[in-house]
Amino acid sequence: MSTKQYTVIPKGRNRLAIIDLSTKLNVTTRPFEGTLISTPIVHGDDCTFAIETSSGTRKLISMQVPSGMMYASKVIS
Amino acid sequence: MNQLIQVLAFLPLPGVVMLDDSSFLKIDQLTDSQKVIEISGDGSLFSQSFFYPETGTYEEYVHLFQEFQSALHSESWEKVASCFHYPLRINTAESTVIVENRKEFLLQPRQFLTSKTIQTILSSKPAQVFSSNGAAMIAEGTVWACKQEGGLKIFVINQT
Repeated sequence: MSTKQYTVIPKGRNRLAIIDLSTKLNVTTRPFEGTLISTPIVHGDDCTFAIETSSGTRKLISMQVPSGMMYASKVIS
Repeated sequence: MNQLIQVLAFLPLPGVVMLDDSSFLKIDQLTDSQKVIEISGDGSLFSQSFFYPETGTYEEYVHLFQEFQSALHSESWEKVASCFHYPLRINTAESTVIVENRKEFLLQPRQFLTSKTIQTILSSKPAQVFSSNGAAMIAEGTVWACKQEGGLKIFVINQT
């Protein structure tokens, strides 16, 4: 796990930015498809948030911090 | 939902701040914090954050960023300088510059606050402040502030 700590902020419509907590530098910005239905949570090197797609499917998305690579998507309803 | 938003625009409710014709903030006063959610024009959740009295209330941050914007707009550099906590961190595209004190900032304020950065800040809405981990930002993370000994101060500028 990285020793750095991160947080997530909204960065325009359908985009999230991962921020280095100590420097407030924008590490990466990631787009997502759908509507955000939960607050993104950063825990260690993972960022998790829920979205609802245009078809109404609700998904839990997991993203690698700080690369921004999405590595898991799970339908939740 | 759109009809509801149009009604809210004409009939302001306690805890509701209209950002423009269609998007708005809903501020809930909780026992130990304030929950601020931003709803986009299409009714979707744009952001959600929490403000705590010990790290700065929503109103305190909005006031700071309004003062900062006003000082920038009039190029009142002394007032701009008084909004900062020193050392002030300026993150540029290439590196990080640390402004040690007010005097250093006032020597060349435009070196630290470029025209594009100023434009980004002036076009943002202080009411749209977003809080995270004891600090808060406007302009999509261009300006960050947090509580210091002398009250809320800006401590990071990310140049755009």
